[in-house]
Amino acid sequence: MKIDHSQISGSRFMFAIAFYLQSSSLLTAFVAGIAKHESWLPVLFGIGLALPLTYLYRTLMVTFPQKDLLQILEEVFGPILGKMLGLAYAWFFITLAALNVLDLGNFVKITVMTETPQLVLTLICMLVAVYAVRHGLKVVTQYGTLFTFVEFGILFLTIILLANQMHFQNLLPLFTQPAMKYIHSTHLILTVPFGELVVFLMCAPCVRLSSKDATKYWFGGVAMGMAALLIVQLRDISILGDAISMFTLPGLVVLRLVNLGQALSRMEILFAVALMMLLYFKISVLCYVSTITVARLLGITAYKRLALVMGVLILAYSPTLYRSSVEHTASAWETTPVIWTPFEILLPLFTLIMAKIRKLPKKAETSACGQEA
Amino acid sequence: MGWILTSFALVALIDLPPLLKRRDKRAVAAFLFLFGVALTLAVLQSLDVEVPSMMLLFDRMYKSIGLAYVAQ
Repeated sequence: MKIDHSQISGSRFMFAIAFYLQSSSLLTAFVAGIAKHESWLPVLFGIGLALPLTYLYRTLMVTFPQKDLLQILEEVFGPILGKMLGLAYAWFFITLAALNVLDLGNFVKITVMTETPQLVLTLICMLVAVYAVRHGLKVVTQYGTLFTFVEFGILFLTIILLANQMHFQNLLPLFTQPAMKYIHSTHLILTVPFGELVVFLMCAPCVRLSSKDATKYWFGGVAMGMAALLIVQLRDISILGDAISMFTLPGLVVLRLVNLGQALSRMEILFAVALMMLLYFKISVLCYVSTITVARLLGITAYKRLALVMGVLILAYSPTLYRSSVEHTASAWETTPVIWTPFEILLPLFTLIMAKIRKLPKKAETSACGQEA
Repeated sequence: MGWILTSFALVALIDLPPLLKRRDKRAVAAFLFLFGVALTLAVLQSLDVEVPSMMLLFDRMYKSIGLAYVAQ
């Protein structure tokens, strides 16, 4: 049973992955708080570990063509255990969406609209996201390509504007901290941006991809996202040095330092533009995935009628997660990587192993799907 | 409180009648479930009742079994 009948091309899927990863460049402060000026190292280690993880997601998508994650779980683990795992994933996706709504409210309030109530900001973003979700994945990912280029444009522009303030010796010395800090921050970077790509397994039935193209587009998208994350981290550390660990939004602080005469200063508006695009896109993808997951769990095809109520639920749920940003940061450092690991790494890996052991999907089924595609 | 109830009434007015018209019982049940949870959370928060955080619950659970990093 197909829930969303819209179809997107492989390249649109690739840019959606790229932009989704780029949006996590706002959260690099979590890593910087642990590894300080060396936080570009965990990003590099995380990139190395994210490659096999991307291959895992790509393999699941290719092995079970035209099936989303919940259908794969039900086929591999049976209907009862599959549904229970699906329920856990529904919580995971809704919580991810709520956490990003919380971030959007906090970040926009800090950066651009300090007087506006947080709820108004998040409500407006959510209404636009719900509108996109109601029109299917095609509309949700419509501006992914444009946003990716704009974000890269902003990134390179800021590098040019800040080139006179970059000191690459700030990236050194290396390996001055306990090994545990590198493990911790690498785990964080692996689970927070890269592991979250598991959400795209819910979009699989709407993507037109052959197995060869799947490799190209998955890795193409991930490579663009990785490059953006690494460049942002290198730019911020080369300017701020160890002080990077003091700020919630190092990107904003760095842009405030742009000073090329009187005309080119106060460039943080660029950050505000990027912030809005990045978080809006991430929230709409997560709202779509949450809605599709609930619809799949309950066997509903009219998912569009659940989008608005899902948006409202995410809005109502987000303020309950953390009472303060201090609590949020502490939890993100201490337990979030551990809580996310089963959903992003262990379960997909176990699912693929079980599928191989049980020789799934059955050959007749695969060829039928292939003919449909 | 008034605007919360008005907003929720609006959400129900937009999406519930088409679902009822389709006689899709599962979809109506799913809608009502999500609607009920969202309304409860919104009303509790507007009454300043502290809603237990799921993330902090997992946070404590993982810490109690030693599956957590130590903040330095």
